[in-house]
Amino acid sequence: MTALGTIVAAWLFAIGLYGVVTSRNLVHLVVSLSVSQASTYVLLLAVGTRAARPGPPARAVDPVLQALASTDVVVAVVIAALLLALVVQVHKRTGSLDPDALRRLPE
Amino acid sequence: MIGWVAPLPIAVPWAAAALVLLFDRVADRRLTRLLTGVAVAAEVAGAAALLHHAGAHPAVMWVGGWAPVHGVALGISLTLDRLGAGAALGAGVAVAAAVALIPATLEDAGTTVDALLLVLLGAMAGFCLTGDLLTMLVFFELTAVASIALTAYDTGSVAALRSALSLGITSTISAFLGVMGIALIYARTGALNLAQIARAVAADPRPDRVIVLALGLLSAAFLIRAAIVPFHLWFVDTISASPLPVVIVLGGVLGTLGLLGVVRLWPAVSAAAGVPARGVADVLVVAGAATALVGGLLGLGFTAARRRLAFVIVAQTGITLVGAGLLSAGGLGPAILYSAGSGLAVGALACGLAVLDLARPRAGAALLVAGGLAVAGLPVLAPGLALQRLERAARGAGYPWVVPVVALAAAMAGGAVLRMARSSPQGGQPEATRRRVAGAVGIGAVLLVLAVLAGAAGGWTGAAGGWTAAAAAGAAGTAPAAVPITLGGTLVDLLSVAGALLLGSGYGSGFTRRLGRQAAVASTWSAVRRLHDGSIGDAVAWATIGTAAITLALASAMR
Amino acid sequence: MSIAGRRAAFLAGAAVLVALLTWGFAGLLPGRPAGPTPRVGDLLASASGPDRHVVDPVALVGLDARSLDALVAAFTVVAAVAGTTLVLRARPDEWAGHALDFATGRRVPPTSDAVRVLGLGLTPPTVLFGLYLVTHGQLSPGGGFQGGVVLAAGVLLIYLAGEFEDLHGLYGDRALERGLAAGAGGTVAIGFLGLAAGPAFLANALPLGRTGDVLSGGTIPLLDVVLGLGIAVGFVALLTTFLHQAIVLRPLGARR
Repeated sequence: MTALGTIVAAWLFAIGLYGVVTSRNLVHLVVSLSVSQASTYVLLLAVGTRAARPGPPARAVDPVLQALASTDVVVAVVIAALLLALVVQVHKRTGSLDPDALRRLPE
Repeated sequence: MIGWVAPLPIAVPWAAAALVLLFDRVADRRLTRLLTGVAVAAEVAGAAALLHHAGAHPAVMWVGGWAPVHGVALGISLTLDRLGAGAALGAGVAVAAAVALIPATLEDAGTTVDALLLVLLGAMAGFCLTGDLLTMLVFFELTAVASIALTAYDTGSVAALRSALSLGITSTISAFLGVMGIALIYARTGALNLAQIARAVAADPRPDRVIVLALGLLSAAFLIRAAIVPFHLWFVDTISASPLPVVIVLGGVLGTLGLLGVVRLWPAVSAAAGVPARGVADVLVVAGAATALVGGLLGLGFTAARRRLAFVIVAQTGITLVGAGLLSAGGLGPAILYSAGSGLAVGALACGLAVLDLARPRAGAALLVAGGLAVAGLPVLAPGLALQRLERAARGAGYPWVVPVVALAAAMAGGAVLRMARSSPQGGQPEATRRRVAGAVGIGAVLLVLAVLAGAAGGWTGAAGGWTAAAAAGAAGTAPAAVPITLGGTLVDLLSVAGALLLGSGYGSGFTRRLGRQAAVASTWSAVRRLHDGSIGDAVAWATIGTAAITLALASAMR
Repeated sequence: MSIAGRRAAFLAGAAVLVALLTWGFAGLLPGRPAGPTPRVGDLLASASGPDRHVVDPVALVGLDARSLDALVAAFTVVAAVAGTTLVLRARPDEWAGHALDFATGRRVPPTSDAVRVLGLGLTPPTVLFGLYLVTHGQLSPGGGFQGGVVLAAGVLLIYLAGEFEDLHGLYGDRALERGLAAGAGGTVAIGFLGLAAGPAFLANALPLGRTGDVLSGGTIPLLDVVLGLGIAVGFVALLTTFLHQAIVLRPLGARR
């Protein structure tokens, strides 16, 4: 784990959330979520690298973290697909992709 | 033998989900419905068997036969204790009620809905039964994914679509926080198994910022899903727009499972590298109390029925957190009983709303009134009995201010439900068959009866509080704490109910109307309304603020 | 909240959160002596050779030691894909017409010959590579999840080279859903196999074979194949659902 890894992980997480909070386009919002997701991968890799671990050098980058990261990628894609499907339907119903146009709907 | 039963609450619903999807349109619809019902019943039976077995001797089962080597857990464990098995049982009851309510509410629901409910059930059971932190997180994330499409079932309603997006986005962010927390814990302890983590942290009790940050991130992750204030914005939206069967599951069980995550996490990190137990308890109890008050207040303030229900559930989750946040067996026992009772009450309320939709105002109002009295703390049903125990435990743990706060929150929440019953709209589908109405009323009645029985089993019987106290003791690793039912406690309960009746009958509405004309109050109220108007950006912004606040509070409590 | 107010509130919270993250992450920087216990991951990496006869420790971890997590991931894909299909299902005010590419405001040119040739040329190697990844997960990086995605990419190439009907002609209407269910259900079945044959649910109960063979590792290659099938079908289902929604479904009363 290096200082750069620290900064990059924290920055990516925050900037992705900033994108979600201030977005004017639902597709942009879902993609910003993926940017935040990237920060979790950076953290996992940073934690798993050779330099970060105690004891004698191991044969491979930590396989537990590798397995976690690789299944996480596939799961993230299908979740993004589900969210984008919702965005498609919203667009069909309202003709707009602006998240702020979705406020104040009648109950 | 137990190795055979333990995976069943997860594997049977999931196998059934796969079969339901495989035989979609090939087999008769009634056959797949039957399969769904059988699978849910099997999960309930399996969880009950595990609960019974855990009573005698709690066990640990290693998935795949990966037993620990030299004391290091290499595989994933299923920890079969009363708390987990009981929670899995509760999840099964909620899904059973949801499946039973489908014919009355979603007429043309296809096999996909059944399959998603089954996947949701298996995931909830897995979350309750596993003793591995990463496995807990992935099961919990699956519950969110399954909930998204169920919430958006009515794709013609923009409100439903928006709330599904809100649910999906905040749950995904919660999962990010969880993964980051797990990565930090793994980096420091090299373990993912909760018991292993506990041992590693206890072995090195120096103040450790890594563990504290991880605790903050993971707590925020769980509390987001539990809809504790200020993470509740997505939840209000979702409960307002989901189909009623989904409301039973999301509102009755899934939020409480978020609190279960916090309870499971706490003992593992309790040597907690520098944060004294009192510090964490302070944070959790204050968060719970604030949530309870906000939920009660806003439940009274908003007028739409579904919104009121959402805030009532938020208030109940807050009260549960107050009990669980005491981080003792004495607080956890009443919290367990309260969460079971309030979940059943939520189910009954959802049935009441379903009956109102079917244009039977009197039956619907009756269910709502009964549910409202349960929420307010009538000491016949589980929530009331648990409330007085919880208040007593909090007083004993050094939080005497919790007693009036929780009693007031219960009164406000109950009053909100009673107002729902009073102002029930005239409408719905008059041509709904008597069978559908009878079904909805029946389910609601059954859930209320269960609430009474749960109260009896966990409340009246014995000073030690029956199985809930034993479950709490098992989870907290201490001896069962005796928190008896007292006359004083019962009087406080009845005060809450009286308060609810007053608020529900409109007492004080003149006063609030005069208050509302004050400029400051009016502008505050309109700001609150704007905050809750469904913006996804608002939900995420406040989730960020809440995460920062919780982590900061834990870090400042660090020695 | 107003947009400016929301941004201000978020920035305040995010500033505190980033500061806390940096503070906490700094505790991981080299300098503080780490704990004595070796990591679970390192223990498993050192055990993969003799224990389960697999070469790739990630396969050992992902599909054996932590096979429950893989099962959960499989069902997450099932839930997400089934959910997507549910969300994008045809509504009463829509009808399914002929698949018609369209773009607002311009005529859509037919698929160019270059794309056709490339698509047809790349499809067999892609599918082959996907099959290789799926079946050799225990020997080299890859496995069911990764190989399944590559297989789905091969099918996508068929669509790119041809028309939507070419794709839809490959499989029937419900075949995708069934394939997805078969993949996930197969994983549960393997779990029960472990339960029936020996110690526990999801135990590695098949013969372990010789390290370095394709058929080594017991249930690991079987899980890879089953998961690969489920993931591939799942991603193709996602593709089909989105395309169906975009170019097949039309509102009632539309001209096209």
